[in-house]
Amino acid sequence: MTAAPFSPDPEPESSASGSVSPEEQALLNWLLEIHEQGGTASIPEELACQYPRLPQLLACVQALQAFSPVETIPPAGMSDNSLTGSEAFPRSFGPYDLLGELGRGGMGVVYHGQHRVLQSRVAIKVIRTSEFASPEEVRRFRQEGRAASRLRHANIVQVHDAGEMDGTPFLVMQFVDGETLAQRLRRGPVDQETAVALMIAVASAVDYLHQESILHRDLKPANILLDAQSVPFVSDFGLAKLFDVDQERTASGMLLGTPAYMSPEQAWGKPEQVGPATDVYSLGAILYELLTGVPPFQEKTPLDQLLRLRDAEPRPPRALDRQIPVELEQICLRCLEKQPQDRYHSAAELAEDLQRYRRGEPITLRPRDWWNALRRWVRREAPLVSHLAGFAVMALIEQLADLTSAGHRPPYLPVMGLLLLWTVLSVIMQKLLLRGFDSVKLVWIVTDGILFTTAVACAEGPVESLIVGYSLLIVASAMWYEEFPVLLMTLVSFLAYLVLLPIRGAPQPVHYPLIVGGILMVIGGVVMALVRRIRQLLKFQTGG
Amino acid sequence: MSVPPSELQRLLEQARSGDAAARDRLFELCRNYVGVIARAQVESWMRAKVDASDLVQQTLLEAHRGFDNFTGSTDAEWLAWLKQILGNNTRDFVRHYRTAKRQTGLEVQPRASERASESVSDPLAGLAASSLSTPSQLLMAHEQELALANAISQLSDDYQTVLQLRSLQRLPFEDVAERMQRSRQATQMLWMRAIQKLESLLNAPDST
Repeated sequence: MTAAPFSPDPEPESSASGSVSPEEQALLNWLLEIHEQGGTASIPEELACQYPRLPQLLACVQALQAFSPVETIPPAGMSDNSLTGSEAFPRSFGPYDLLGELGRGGMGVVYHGQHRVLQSRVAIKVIRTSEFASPEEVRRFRQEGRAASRLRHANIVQVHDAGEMDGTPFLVMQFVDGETLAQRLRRGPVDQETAVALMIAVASAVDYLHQESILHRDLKPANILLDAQSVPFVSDFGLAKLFDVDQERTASGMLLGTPAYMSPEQAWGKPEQVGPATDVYSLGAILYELLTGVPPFQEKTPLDQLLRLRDAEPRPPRALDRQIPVELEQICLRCLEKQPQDRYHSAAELAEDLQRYRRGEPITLRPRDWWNALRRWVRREAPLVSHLAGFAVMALIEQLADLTSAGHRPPYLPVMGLLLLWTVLSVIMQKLLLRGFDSVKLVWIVTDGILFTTAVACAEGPVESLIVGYSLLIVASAMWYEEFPVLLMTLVSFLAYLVLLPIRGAPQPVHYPLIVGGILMVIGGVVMALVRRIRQLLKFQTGG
Repeated sequence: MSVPPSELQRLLEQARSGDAAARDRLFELCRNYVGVIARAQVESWMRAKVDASDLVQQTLLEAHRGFDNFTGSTDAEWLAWLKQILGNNTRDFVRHYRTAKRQTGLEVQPRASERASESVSDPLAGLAASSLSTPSQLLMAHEQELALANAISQLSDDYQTVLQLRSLQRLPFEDVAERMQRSRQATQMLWMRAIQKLESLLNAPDST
């Protein structure tokens, strides 16, 4: 039911006021009158001559009024000042004139306003549809005002005033004439010098917030305003949390924020870990986007984003763009560490390191301990690491088996060569995956199936016991957390086994191969069901 | 009148005595009624155009499933029962929609304990209950309500929208004009024609 063009109807169409006859106008006036008066009116005689069905029309209007499920006609003040954005500009709002709408956020609408006496430009934020805002929302809105009102910083949007109009809470804020960083990024990339300067200013502002015991918790390009001189202003404390007050919100562990810039501890509901380092993570995500043009984890769905946020390392900025200096990459990745304690301890440290980089001084390199580096590598290139681990075990066993015999056994060289080839291919495919070629994982799966089958074909003696390797391949393919790779691996394993049978099959009861094939299929099915269940559970948890 | 005065009561009695066909006919008869009220309620709460078809479906489904739990006997009780289910669903719908909007689909659902406390303080809870029956509604014959809803549902989309916004959701004409992207004058004329058309449908000798 849309406001589509006028539908065909017996009555003549006359939407232009010029074509309305005096009689129609009179009827309309009368109907409007009874409608506004709640359905009671006399029937004027001259009109009744023109329209014999007036009593029925009156009954009809009355019936509609009685039928309306809406309690009362909204009082004039509400409907004219309800701030639903449907009214014309300029219009008055307390001592201000609203000149236009600047934007809409999760809870509020931001208007461009002007103080009638002082003529100063302001931004006025009102909570949207206040009569339906829950107490929680109103509370959060008031808290934003309280949090922001005591702040004085060159890079933080200043709150001038707060109050209530017709029951609608509002905030009067400094008007920044420009665009958001998100809008700026949509126009094209920012050069490195500007990016560093922006981040130094934003990081110092965030550090100031932290010193005032306020966590921003929703830092993202859309919440950073740029004025005409590209001076950044941090805004939107909608999620801001005071360190000291406000314990109940942490208790609920609600997931608030924007996934692309959200820290792992926020995304995975560990409120006890949320602290200044949480904002440092978001700053790192913004720096990452400034440098590379894309946020650290750019997945199709919020669900995949959350999974990657926990399990994967972002692709190093220099893998996306070789022009990015090593120092900036290190600064950026340090902010994006999974563990809060591994990041910069404060936004000030981040700002200082950026300053040092800008002055050409060495940055505060964290001692590069090999254990952390290894853990990051394992997370970043998990598929490759698991393959290499498997190859190492196979090579070791093969080598040990060879020690017992004089000279090399016949399968030694083919299998070792195969493992080498497999390793090289795996490294190549891992690199391609990191460059963003997502479909490489399917090629990888098929390659695994073929190479494993070849290795088994080269092996000596009865090979039936090696078939168990296919189950491992199927189960391991679940680590992508997607159903299709599992399906593909199952089919590849099944086909490979069929090929293997005539080559290396030993005499056995005729139905045994059917059992083995069936088991492979069932394993695939079970694993797929588990993957689907995991995704559903996560989806439920994220409400998305 | 499209519904003879006794039909609703008669169908209700038959359905309650276990006549499945009568029950289906009863629900068919009330579908438009639930649809018109659902749209009016949900749009007026959300202050935006909302597709209420899921809400209607859900409400009818729940009423159908829980038909044995309906203990009343009069048509008034029956309609009140439908409206109560609808009111509950609308409240959930609005709340869900609001959260979904606010958190761009990324909010963990409140826990059961929080939900319970929320329903006490939530102004929507009272709103749903209070809009169940206004005094003026009691004056209106229940069959007439059904007939009115059926007639509204037969109107063209534009007529339905203008009656919904102005007469049922009671928005000022300025807002209706804005929402329908017409001039205020054109909107008022549209509204008048919608009323005329509605009246002719209601009082037609025999409309389906």
